[in-house]
Amino acid sequence: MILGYVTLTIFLAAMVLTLLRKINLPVQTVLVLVTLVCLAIGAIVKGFTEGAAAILTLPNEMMGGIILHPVTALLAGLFLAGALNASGGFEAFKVLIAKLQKSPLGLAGTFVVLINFPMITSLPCGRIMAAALLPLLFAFGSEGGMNLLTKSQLIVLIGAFARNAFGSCGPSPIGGVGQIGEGFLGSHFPTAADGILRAPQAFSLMIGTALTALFLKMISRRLYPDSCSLRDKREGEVDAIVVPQAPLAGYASLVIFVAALIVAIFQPFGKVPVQTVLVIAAIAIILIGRAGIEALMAGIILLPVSAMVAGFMAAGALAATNGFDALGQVLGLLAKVPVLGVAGMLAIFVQIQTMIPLSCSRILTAALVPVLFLFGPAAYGFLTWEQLAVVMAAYIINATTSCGPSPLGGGGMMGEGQMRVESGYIKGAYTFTVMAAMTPLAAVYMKFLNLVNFAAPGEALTANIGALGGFVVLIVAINLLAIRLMARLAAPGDKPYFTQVGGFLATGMFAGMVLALSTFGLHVIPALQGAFGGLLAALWIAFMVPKKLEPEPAPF
Amino acid sequence: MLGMLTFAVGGVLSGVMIAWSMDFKTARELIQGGLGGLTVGVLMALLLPM
Repeated sequence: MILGYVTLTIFLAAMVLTLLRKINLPVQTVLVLVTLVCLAIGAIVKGFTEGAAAILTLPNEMMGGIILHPVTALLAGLFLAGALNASGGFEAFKVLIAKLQKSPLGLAGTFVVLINFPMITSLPCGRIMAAALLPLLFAFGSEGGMNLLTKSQLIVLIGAFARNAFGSCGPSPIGGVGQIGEGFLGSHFPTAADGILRAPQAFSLMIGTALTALFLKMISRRLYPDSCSLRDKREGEVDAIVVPQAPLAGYASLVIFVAALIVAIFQPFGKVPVQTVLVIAAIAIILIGRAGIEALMAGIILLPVSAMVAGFMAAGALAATNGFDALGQVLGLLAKVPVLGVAGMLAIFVQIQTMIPLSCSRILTAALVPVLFLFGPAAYGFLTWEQLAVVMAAYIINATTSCGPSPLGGGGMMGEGQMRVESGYIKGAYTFTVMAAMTPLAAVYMKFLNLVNFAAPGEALTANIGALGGFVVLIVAINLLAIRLMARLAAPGDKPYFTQVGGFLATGMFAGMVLALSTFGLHVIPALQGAFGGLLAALWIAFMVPKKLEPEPAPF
Repeated sequence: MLGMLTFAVGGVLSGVMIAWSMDFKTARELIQGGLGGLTVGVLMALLLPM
């Protein structure tokens, strides 16, 4: 077991040092190095204690941790998105958005749809939609040519869109992050693979996106008043309306894309692997759009693929060297601390990926979801299957949104670049809303409504729409109040920074309490323990929000 | 049906908040934002397993 503690320490230390930029290497490289070091140490220790045969099985145990389904689904999804882009599908989408502005939705409603569009399409990586549409959003501003929006409006539009995009890979049915958790929940819930985690994630992302917009408008602009170099709207000038155009093949490929999504999600032709559906659709789009191979390959983004594989490798090395057993023991010991208990430990655990935001959420998700699974009836027995599903919903939305605020080449940096702000501008908005709103929202949605649709045979669960509505109203109200209060305090400098940390702590406590209430029911002790765990997590998250922004070189 | 209802209500709430955050503050603009949110909520609910 000492071996497990050693490899676990190496893994955690490497992740934190990378995050703090004490190790200036791509996170995938760090993970591969961690894997090799852990395997080498494991080989030495096992060689002495168990003999040469134990050394030979180590690589096998490590490779066994790589789950191919999400990797191939992600590749197929990226291939399809590349085909769509190459054949003018995104151009056709821009035309549709322009037409939408003339509908009863008007400009305001169109922007609401546009901001939430990544979630509706739910592609396997938010970077696909962000790369395609961020330039379009920028065009609504003064520098972009349309001169429709002020600087403040453009910051909110781009920041909220990026928030939505960099959470949309979670509920994706085509290689989404949530599928990792759904695979484990399938051990008990027979239909979990149909998407048991999708609705809780989508619901909390929809509300969380709006709260992010509010935070950006009311707080971020006051915290960092001189950090945005966007030009404001030129008053009095005639708006230059650029009418987008798209080839006919673009519309056709958009129709095929939507049809492929529907077939992948609803499976009207029976059980067909999602990869098959996506590849057939991509080939059809290629034939219709006559897309070139270069344009197609440009659509395949390797970062999320390599991140997921590197994460699986590190997870495999930890598993082979008893690292997860050690982590389970540490968390088990935390659960025995009276002020924390299981509820407090879980309140920290579900926030762990926002506390350690890496460039792709799949890295830690692949490593830590197996640990969360062990808390259930399969190993430690801290949680029943239903409770595990509730905690998994909270964990996955927290995890899947964590690439947004990551300073290690995270997705949010694409938005910051387009907003012409320094790196770190969006971090407070992104971490606050995930910690305080999205995580507890996913838990209550799973508990009071979604579990009913995925109950195991012989289980009779009933929805409680009143409790769901009450919790949602309470969570949103507490968040609005906290944002309002923090907005009054927000200003550049140390003192306002420290006072607004109070807003993070209060809402973090509340989020931990809601998680405990939705997991363990109306019991005072777990609720208080959850609140204390939430407070500790919030303390870490609050102090990671930069006090002031300075230009800094990208780490890689 | 309950899932559709929650997404519709959540969508309207989200849409109004986004519209207000983007300085669309007249009643007409906030209603448009709410309509946009309703569209998002209903569309999303149709795509989810419920």
